[in-house]
Amino acid sequence: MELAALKQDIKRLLIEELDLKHLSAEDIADDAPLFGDGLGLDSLDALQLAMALEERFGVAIPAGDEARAIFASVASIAAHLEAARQA
Amino acid sequence: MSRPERIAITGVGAISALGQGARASWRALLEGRRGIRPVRLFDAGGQHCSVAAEIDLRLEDVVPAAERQEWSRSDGLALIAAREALADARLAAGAAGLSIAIGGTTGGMFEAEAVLSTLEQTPAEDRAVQRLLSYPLSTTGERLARVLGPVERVATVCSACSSSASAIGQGAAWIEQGRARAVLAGGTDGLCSLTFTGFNALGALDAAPCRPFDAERAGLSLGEAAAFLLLEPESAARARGARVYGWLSGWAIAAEAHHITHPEPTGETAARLLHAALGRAGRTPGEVDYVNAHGTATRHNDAMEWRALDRVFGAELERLFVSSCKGQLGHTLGAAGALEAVMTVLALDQAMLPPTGGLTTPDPALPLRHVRGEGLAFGANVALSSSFGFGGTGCVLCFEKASLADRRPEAAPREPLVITGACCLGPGGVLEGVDCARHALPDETLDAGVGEVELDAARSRRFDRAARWVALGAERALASASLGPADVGLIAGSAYGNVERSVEFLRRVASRGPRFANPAEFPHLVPSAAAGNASIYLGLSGPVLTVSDLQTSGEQAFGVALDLLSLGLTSALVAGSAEPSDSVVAQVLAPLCTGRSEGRGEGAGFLVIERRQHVHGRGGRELAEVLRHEQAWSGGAERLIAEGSAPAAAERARVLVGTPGFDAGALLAGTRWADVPRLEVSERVGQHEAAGAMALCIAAALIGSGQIDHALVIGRSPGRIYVTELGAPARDPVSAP
Repeated sequence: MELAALKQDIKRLLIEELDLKHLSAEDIADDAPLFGDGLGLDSLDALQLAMALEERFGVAIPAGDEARAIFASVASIAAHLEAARQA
Repeated sequence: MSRPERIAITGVGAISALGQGARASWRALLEGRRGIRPVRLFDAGGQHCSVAAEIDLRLEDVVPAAERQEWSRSDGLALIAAREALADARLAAGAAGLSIAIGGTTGGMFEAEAVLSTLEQTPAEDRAVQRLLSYPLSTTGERLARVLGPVERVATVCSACSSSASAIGQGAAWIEQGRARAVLAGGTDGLCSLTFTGFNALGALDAAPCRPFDAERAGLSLGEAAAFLLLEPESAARARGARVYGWLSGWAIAAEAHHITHPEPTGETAARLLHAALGRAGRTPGEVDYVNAHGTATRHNDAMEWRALDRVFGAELERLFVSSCKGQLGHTLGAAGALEAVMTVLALDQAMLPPTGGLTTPDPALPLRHVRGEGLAFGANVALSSSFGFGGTGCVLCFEKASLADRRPEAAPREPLVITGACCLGPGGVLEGVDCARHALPDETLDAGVGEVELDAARSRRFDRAARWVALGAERALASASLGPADVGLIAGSAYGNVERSVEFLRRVASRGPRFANPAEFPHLVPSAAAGNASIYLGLSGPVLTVSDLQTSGEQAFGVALDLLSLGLTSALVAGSAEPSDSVVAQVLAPLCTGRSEGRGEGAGFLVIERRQHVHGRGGRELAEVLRHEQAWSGGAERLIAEGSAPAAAERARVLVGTPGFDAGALLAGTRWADVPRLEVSERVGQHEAAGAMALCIAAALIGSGQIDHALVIGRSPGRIYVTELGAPARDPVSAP
């Protein structure tokens, strides 16, 4: 899958799985921080996101600090999925 | 002014993974034994954690033979513990004047799981559907009332993991008001796959038996239990020569209004609760010897709790002992508060402190005086027991040794309680204040419906319809009373909890496996989630509780609110109930539990109730005054109707019947209310379990708009009836002293 399409997919998954129905994919910049001051997501969302990404893309998200780095933005999630696919 | 009667604890009962019986559990606790083992009740394979504090229970040994298929594990556990508490107090079942206050979260979930996750394939007449009779939280209290009664009243309270501590507070409230001679107060929660899978999905469970306050603590261990205290006013206990274990001298309930799962990191609300319970007991932090902590062994809870203790006790923390029972008994959720209350009472009585099982390397960041390994011989005089739950409602109980003199301050003065705000969601849309009375006008066409509820999208993104309705109903009721949310609490009724959403969660687990259980969904499945979410959304930091009583859930919520206000625990509360449509309730639960299946509607009603001085202090306007509110079981209904004041002139009074299909004519015949015009509220607002709460709103609005002066609101669920009498507010308000 092309990277841009993957990022689009991730944004749609974020909106669907994290009940961000007040946002559209265009509202989420590739590099915008997702947690804390960014989209205002919390650790409950991180758990949900990890579960949903594994279900959709078959890629497990490691726990702890590693996950924090992966979940920094849509771009970093896409990079992790790409890396896992090529591994 | 005077002190209310002291609350004596004259009986204890418990069943836990460590033993059947309060003393068996207590002895095992002191020996340092741990009840956390591989789960056998259901398949816990493929999950990070597969251990829990499970009880070897043979339901058939406990349950009436003819009802074996209908009783849940939670019901059976409750009966064992309740019987023990009564026997321990040497009160015969059927002794006059018994009331029951019970807390829980799972009810009949274990029995319902298989049926609910395959509902489409199960015909309604199937025997298996009978298993769902135990699904509503109120069923346990109903069954205890039937087996152990006659009873005077029953309340079923849910505040997630503080549920049964809150129920003990409710029992105390009845005694302090002089309304009860004996209260079985406690709770029950059986293990089920839903909570096990859900807590696993949250990553909240330790794979090994849990380690409270340990540096390596990695989550909680679930468990199941039931526990009850038998509470009596001192005079009643003395009069019959009962043995007094100790006193329940103080209690406090309040909400964090912070987050659905995360405890407030500062520990501010927990500290407020510890202070408030001590204040009611008339004790200082320096007099406390022992704290039985919530101590779940999650990173966040234990750190929050330490901060709260540090705020309240400061340097005293080096002196007093702290322990958590959860490393041995597991976290028994809705039963935990009562189970730990029983252990705290026994600690005072036996002059022994239970250890913190599983603690090997105390977290240096949480310096506490722990009890390690085995029980410690120590004669504590004053002890606190803390409980905190999802949604942020906490409860702290203060217990004292039997030999201690009463130090409680004088009680808050009795004051009239008045209704100052109302909001109905129903066929008329969202109606506020005196507009709620439009539901009573025969020529009014009400077909707007509620439609989409507008809330701040980002802050309500996880809300289901129940949470939306409670948040909106409470918000608009407060707005109609011109009252802000600070220090206000919320008592919300819910007959069945959030069934549709639970079914979705269960089906997903059944089809995809526990690994794909929705972590963010799970915290919203506890019956108290809607009220918890609404309290967080609105910033309500007073007591936040959910009550469950089928068609009279709204009436019971109203009653619980009045109890808390009468005692001055808080000055203003929102109370009511919400029943947005739920397909599983409509198709299965309501027909099964109430026998009504046709033409189901949806609705909600919320009222603002205040102490009169509070209204005067802020210059608020009164809609109606609460003249009385009572619940009766076992044929006490006629007496209840007869006891009230005579109605005003018939055309200036109204009887409002909130319960669908309840013909109150026979009950009213021959009473002073027989000739008063009757309004069948459900014919106007729809047939659902919130019609009773809407009846209360409409009655207050009819009085507040000057259309009538006096109203009798009647509601009924099987075996019990509620009567509320509302009158016009005093025209010449008494000025503040």
